[in-house]
Amino acid sequence: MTARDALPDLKALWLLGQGREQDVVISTRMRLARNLSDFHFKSRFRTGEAQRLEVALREALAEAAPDLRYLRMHELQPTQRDVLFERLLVSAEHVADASPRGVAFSEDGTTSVLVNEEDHLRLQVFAAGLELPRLGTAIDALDDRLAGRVSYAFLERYGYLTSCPTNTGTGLRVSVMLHLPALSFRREAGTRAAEPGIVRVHKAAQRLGLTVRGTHGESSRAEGDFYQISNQVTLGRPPEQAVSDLQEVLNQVVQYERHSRQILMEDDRIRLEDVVWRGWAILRHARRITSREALAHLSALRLGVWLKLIDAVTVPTLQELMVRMRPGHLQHEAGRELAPAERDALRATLIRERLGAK
Amino acid sequence: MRPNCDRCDNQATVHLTEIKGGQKTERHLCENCARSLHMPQAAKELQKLLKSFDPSVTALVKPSRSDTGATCPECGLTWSEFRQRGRFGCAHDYELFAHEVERLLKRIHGSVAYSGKSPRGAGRVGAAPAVDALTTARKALQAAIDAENYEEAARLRDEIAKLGASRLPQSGDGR
Repeated sequence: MTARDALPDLKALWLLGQGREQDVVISTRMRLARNLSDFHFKSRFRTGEAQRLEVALREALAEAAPDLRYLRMHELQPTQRDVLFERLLVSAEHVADASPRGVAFSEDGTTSVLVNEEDHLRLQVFAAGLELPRLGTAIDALDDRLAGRVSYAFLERYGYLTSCPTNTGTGLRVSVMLHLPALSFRREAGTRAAEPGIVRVHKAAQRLGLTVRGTHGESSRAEGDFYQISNQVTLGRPPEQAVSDLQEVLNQVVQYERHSRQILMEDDRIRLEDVVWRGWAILRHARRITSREALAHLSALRLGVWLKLIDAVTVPTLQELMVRMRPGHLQHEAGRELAPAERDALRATLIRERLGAK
Repeated sequence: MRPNCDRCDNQATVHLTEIKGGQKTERHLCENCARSLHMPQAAKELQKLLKSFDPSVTALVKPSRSDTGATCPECGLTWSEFRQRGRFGCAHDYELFAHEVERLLKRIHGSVAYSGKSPRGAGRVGAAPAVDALTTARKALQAAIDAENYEEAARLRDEIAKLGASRLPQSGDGR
């Protein structure tokens, strides 16, 4: 098997598909943390234990979820691991680790199971847009199938036992990725509402036991105005309630962002158009561009499409570029490792071609 | 109505009665003030250092007076090692350090009462869920008594009574 066909085709990736409330919600992710009762947790593995566990879980997964493809992380090339990370199939920790570990995933990337991450098992499901109830059912079914084949570490009093006490209980983390450009927009001095709406979202979320973070963990204005809202509490309330609480907050944030976009269109339309069209111009003409700069312009274009300020590009194309322009994907497509300057040049070419420029 | 802390406005949870030369003085402190008054400087410095590991967890792990220095027979973890890294070594740590775990989980999640599904395939650790809950609570009670944490002990005693009561019909009807 060559390096290239070890990974699924990007075209099948869920992230490029349609979803609910997609003008504001990029994606929904749910994950469950699980450990086996008859193995030590990762920080206390004995010699050879990681290996034995990896083999045991690989076999259990082959029976419980035969439709998933299994790869041993430690046998992959560094760029292949980066590609999996950029498609959200594995975490940054799972990429960086050196111990025997694996990942099982579906071709469309909507399901992935990490073996030997911080916990023995991390089950994940994804969908484009806002999809809480459906994902809840999907991850529950996968969890039940695995529970029939392995023995989970569980106490009636604390629920599922995890390596880190912040996950103890349901082991459930729900994260919803949002695009909040209007709520992040800083108004010029003298206009109404000086405080960006995102600050108020932060405060409200905190009161409800939720966190709001940038894609890379930033707490202030996030790169590309992409934010992640997720639950923190995994004990004391049933998972269904955690999910419905989150749903309620998200509905409000979505309305708030839409309302802010409307106000921006009324108050600041020229400035908004300028940001969108400048983004278009730069992306179609730049010869070298960093991920950060490209993301900022792609974010502006995404907003422009939803506000009908520009119709020269579609949302799926923008979503595809946001994945393909990242370092792992660029190097994977090139078939070799690239220096940062080379990547910036290749990124600019890729974007120009995809946006129909020369 | 319980008194407020002598040093700040938080509710007092630590009540000290000092008798010196036949003179009795009572002090009411919140957990934070009590700790800052009684923790030696070296321990404070150490705690600051430990926070650098995983601040989300280690900052919440407080020094425990009931820490008996026990070592988990399964994985070798001690509570002071847990405080450094914020990660458990195996499922048994949850029972061995029940008293500390109880306080930690409450601090992180605001509650310790698990609500959700149970695995069908739970093995050794979750073999008999109803008994487990009782056993865990009893261990936590013993630890609370050892630590002279009577408020916690009273709460656990009530909980054990409730757990015991809920099991009676099953064992009593003979089927």
